[in-house]
Amino acid sequence: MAAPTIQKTWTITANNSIAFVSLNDTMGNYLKGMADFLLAHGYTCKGSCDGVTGAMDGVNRWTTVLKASVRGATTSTAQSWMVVTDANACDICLAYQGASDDIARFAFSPGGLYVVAGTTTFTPTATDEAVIMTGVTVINATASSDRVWAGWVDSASKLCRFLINRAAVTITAWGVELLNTRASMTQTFSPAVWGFGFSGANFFYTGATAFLANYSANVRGGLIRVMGANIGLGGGAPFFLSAGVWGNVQTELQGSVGYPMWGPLSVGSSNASRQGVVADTYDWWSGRNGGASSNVGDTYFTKTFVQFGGSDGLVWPWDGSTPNVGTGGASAAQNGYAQANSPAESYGQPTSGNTMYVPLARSAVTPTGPSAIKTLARRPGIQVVRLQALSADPAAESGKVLLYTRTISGQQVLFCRLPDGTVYQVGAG
Amino acid sequence: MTLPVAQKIWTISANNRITFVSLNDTMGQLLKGWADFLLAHGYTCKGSSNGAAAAMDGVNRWATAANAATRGANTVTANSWMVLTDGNSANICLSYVGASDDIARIAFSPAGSYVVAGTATFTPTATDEQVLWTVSVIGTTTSLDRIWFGWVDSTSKLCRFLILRDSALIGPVWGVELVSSRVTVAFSPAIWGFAYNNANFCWGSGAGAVLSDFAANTRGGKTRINSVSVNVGGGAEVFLNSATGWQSIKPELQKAIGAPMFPMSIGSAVASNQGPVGDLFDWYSGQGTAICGNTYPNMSWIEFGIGTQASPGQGIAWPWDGSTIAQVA
Repeated sequence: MAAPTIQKTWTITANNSIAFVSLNDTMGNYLKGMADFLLAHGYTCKGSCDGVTGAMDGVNRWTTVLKASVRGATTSTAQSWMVVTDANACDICLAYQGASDDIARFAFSPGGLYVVAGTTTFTPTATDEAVIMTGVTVINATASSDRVWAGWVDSASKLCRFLINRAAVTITAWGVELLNTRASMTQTFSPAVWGFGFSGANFFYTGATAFLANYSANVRGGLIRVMGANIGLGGGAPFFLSAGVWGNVQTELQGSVGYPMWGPLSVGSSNASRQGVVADTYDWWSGRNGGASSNVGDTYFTKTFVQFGGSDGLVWPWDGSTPNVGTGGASAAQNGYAQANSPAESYGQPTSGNTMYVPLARSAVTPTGPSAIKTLARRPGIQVVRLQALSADPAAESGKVLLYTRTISGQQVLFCRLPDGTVYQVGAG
Repeated sequence: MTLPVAQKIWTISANNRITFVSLNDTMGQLLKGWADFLLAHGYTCKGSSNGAAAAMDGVNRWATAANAATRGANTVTANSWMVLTDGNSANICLSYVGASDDIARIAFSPAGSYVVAGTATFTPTATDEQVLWTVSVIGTTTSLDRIWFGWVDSTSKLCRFLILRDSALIGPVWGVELVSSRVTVAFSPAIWGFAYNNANFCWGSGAGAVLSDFAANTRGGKTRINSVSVNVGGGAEVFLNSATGWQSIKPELQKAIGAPMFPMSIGSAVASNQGPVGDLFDWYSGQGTAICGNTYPNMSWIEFGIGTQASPGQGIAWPWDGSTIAQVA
């Protein structure tokens, strides 16, 4: 059994350690580091703000970490922000906005619609903005220990992903990426991108608070824009035996060559009026669930894949280096094998009721003679009910609604009579 | 996206009504009906017993339903049995064994190893036998017709059966079928035998549904891999922590054309033989508010499962013949 096939050509910036000075310094470093990485790999700066001067003019004002370190408590407070545009023509907005120094705001505009706010140093706005993370910690609030971040960008500049670890614990993961749209996703979906944001505690494969669970704002899952609205996405993948997918077994039926790496993982929506399967991700797989180590930073094959999020965490491509996951962490080598998703779903709608034959002549009808009033028990599959016309309305019956026909002025008319005696015409023929 | 395209070419025997006379009569007719259907579509008779005479000699002794109606209280009592061989060279053994007239025993031998027991009229034995079902097949109620349905593919490598009574499944939904193997170890023939009771023939990842693990005489199936018997349960692609999320709607992102029909796989959690086993041919999730016997457009698929008129529910969609109206009661 082979390794998963990596679908995209990735440039990975690995092991970017930020020596801890303060939460503000760490956040400034992280924001500038991410922006610099994107700008070096095909993303363009649409506009920026160093907390003093802001404009949507294509100028990168984050020339130093300090320029990216001005935090605004709210979106209508001066702050460091930058909007970058990817090759999907989407805008990504990084804004140092939050109630404390460990918080920032990540958002994107699928239509590339960001404009400066009324005051240019405030957070930019977009009519189609989808907020990926806001109001929650990005780097962990603990004022100690280095953070180590990694970034990924594909060769077409259409996918980017980032995550940050502290003391061998994944704190957050986020990105804005092209999706591999399912053939079944027939609504207009262009650009087919999602922005995702996971807390470290949700960057796992299975369970109620994991990739396969439904979207939860600022916690897990992602957002897309479809049918004129932003909707949350949760994950999908094969699931066997009500118990998962052998996450901590080098399955014997596959020759005990490794732990199954399911994927690429998929996404779907349960949003009212916008439900259904959406797409497959590019280069997301399940990782080992268990083991002696935490599995944060564990690699597969020749360090061409890396697992973050811990046991049952998720696997992304890696660059061959030994992951640095922060103080106290250690990278272990895991065995794995590609385990593809099942064939894609189809769609169909059964015709209810009229496609079965149930003989009425049995217990379905009280056999009291052809001209007597009959009582139909509840039966499936009835195609035609023939009602013989009555010459007068039947007497009302307590607890029953009576359905019957009478001929009125030459027309056979369907009536119902309620228990209180009220008679309604149901239809005429 | 529209309906699935069936992977196999199926012959379907529909609406086989057994007018109720007695449980013994019903069972005899059912066993003979199953055997006749298989024998008419490429399966061969390896041997049989009418309860009085028996041999593994290729002779079909079930000339009448009465010949298939001799019940033995256990496997070492004279009973009606037949062993059939399919296109995989596997054997299927139908034997009328049980403590009451509604019970029969369904088993198979992947390697086709059945031989007569020490006494020929007793249930045959096989060193690799996989027992699928040993409890009530037709229900104990001594009234109402039973109606059975059978499927066999054009290569005689897959067969499946189900029985209804009063609009609901009763007894086992069972079969012995080739699968599309996902294993890299010895698995030949790549077949499984399965048997689900009516309450477990429903789509879902929770306990009691087809995506949960094997339970004897209840759900799931058996394979023989690496020369040992391996119990298997179901698997499929699941979204949002739920296997039933979109089965009761027509998802709008697919322009509301219908409920998703996810293909089904099987896997094993048996120690030392764990992992995905295979993908099933022509098994799909059904719609979640369906009634047993609902058909899909063009009558190309049909859904059976736990759903009834009183309590519609999610079942499994199998291929259908495009024209026949299913009789469910």
